Amino acid sequence: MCSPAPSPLKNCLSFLPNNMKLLSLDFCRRYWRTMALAIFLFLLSAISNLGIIFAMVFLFRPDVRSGLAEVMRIILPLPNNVKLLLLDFCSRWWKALTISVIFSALTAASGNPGMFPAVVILFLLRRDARNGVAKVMRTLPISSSERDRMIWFMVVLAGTILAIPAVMYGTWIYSRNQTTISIPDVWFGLFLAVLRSFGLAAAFFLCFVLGSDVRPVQFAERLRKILVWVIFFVQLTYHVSPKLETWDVLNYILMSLTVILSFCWRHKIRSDIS
Amino acid sequence: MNPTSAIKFSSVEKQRYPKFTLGPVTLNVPTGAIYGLIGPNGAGKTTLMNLIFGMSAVNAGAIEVCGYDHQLDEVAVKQRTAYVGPELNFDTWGSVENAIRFVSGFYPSWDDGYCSQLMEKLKLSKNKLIQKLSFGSRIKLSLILALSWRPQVLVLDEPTTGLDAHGKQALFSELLSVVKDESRAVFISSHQISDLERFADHIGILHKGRMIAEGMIVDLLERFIRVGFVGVSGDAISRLPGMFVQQREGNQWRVVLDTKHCALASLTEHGARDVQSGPITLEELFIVLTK
Amino acid sequence: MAPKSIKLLIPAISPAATGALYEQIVTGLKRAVSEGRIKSGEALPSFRQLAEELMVSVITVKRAYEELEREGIIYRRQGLGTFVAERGQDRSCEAKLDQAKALLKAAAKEAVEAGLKPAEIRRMFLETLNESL
Repeated sequence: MCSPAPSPLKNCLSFLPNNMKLLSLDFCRRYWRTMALAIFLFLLSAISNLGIIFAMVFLFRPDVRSGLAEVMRIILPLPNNVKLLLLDFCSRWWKALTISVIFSALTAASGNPGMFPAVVILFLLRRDARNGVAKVMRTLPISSSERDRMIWFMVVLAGTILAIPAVMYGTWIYSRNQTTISIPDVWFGLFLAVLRSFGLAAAFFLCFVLGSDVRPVQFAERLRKILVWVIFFVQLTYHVSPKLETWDVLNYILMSLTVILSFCWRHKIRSDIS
Repeated sequence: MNPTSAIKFSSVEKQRYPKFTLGPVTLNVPTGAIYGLIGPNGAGKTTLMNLIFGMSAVNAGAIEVCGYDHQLDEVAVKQRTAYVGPELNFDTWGSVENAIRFVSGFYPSWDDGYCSQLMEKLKLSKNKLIQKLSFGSRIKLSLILALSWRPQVLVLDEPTTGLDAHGKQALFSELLSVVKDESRAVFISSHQISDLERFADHIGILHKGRMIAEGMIVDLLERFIRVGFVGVSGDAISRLPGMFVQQREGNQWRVVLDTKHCALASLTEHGARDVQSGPITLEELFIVLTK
Repeated sequence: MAPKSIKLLIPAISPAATGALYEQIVTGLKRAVSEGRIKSGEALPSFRQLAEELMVSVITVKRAYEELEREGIIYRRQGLGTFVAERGQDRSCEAKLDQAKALLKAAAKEAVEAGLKPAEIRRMFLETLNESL
């Protein structure tokens, strides 16, 4: 049993067209793990993209909702109220979410497919607030922190999570098209893509939260606003490149910090309700 | 917790833009009672009720519900208190059934049987789209969502607007059965003073952000009396404390007297003759006090 | 708890009828007791129960019960409930008679003030009696 070469993808992509049979057999023998992984990821992303679409259309429909609620209750280790709120949000907006997931698959190759669903979710939440859902939530026995947690989860994390199959697919496509790669393996590329998505979604969340013009704007608030817009634009300069330069490393660190920052400042969303 | 006060406002103040100040308001809704809050439009009734649920922030003072502070023990308060108001909008949930399913998930004490009973009584069907419901039916939906889980305290902001006679009858019959349990209470605001006169135990009159009268209805209606008399010329009588002049034509006077501050005898001392006194209705009292 | 609904034994309590709501309840119960429709020793509903049945506030019923208790027509036993007094029926009749007397006195006073002589007043009374029976 051969151990995989340090950069299996490099090898797998640089075999010559002559003596293909021999070489390919040899290649398969030596890099069967990587190939299996690549095929598995491809199948997984294709199936799960379709799967998510079907899940949205059928599972979130009201008549089967109780069944899904049972499943969710067992699977998700979230506190009960947050689960109920998430379930409710998804069941009311399932059509919009489905469309955004389909679109995320189309933008998979851009390296940042999670952003589109995140933006869509943000606008859905805003629409909810405009329609008086906020007042209804105020009368229910949910603590403000649970409410904030749910909104943060939906905007920052859920968009990317829903688009993960597309992210995987995109990473796979990307890695296929590169001739020189120094990223060790596909998983790291996937991790970076997810991080990019989280970072941008978090930046969007912060822009929205600090951009609300309901409260009187103080100097510290203004500073925060400027900071967040700067972070947002810096993050847009990401490179989906084979080489991780210093700038990219710093950028990815910034993205992680943005996600943490958005979690710390999630209570600021309460200003929407005076 | 076993308090005797269901809702207690202690010197609560709320500033809404430079024009309007609510408070300081001190109000007590005892357990086992139906407390009616009446006041002219813009007096601050809705604002006061919104404060309990954190829909607006209190600028000063404290609110306690069943002994729990409304901000520190927010969840404990909301697990015991239900809210009904005209601004509650359930449109986005689609059908009545969906709204019920959503809300019922948050209350372990939800009673499905009671819910169906209420829906029959208030004539609301499950499959209707909330968007297409009339205003009265939306209030009925809010009421059903509030009553079905048997809360300790009910806070109702103008629930009678939009309800027809059947609906009002059904509502008050349910509210009376709520207070059959002495640990529960109802805090209701309404424009229909005649309804409250019949069903409420306590009344509070809110005018321009201040409580101008509060207490048991029977006490208030004994304290204030309607008096007609023939008086002397001059305005000395009208300046007596506790005297509210309703009508005056020459020497014929029609007034409302606050017997706490001004006894009937002092009228005759000031030269009034043919003094005739009679009881007053709550509506008349309200009009006189909020002129 | 009373086996039958008190609501049906007394005339309807309504703002349209004469007297305050609690007075209507007092009169209605007094009448029901004096006519024997509610027997002595029988249990009356709790004031919250009666409030629900009659669709009036709890305070109104409380006051009515207090008045009846003061007149000795009913009595309350802590923990057991409210019951019609032994002499309740008699007391009730007594109370009603007192009231009738007071009304006749007032009628007589009005008639005198209107300028009628005793013989005329007597005639008027007998006529009215024949009309109303």
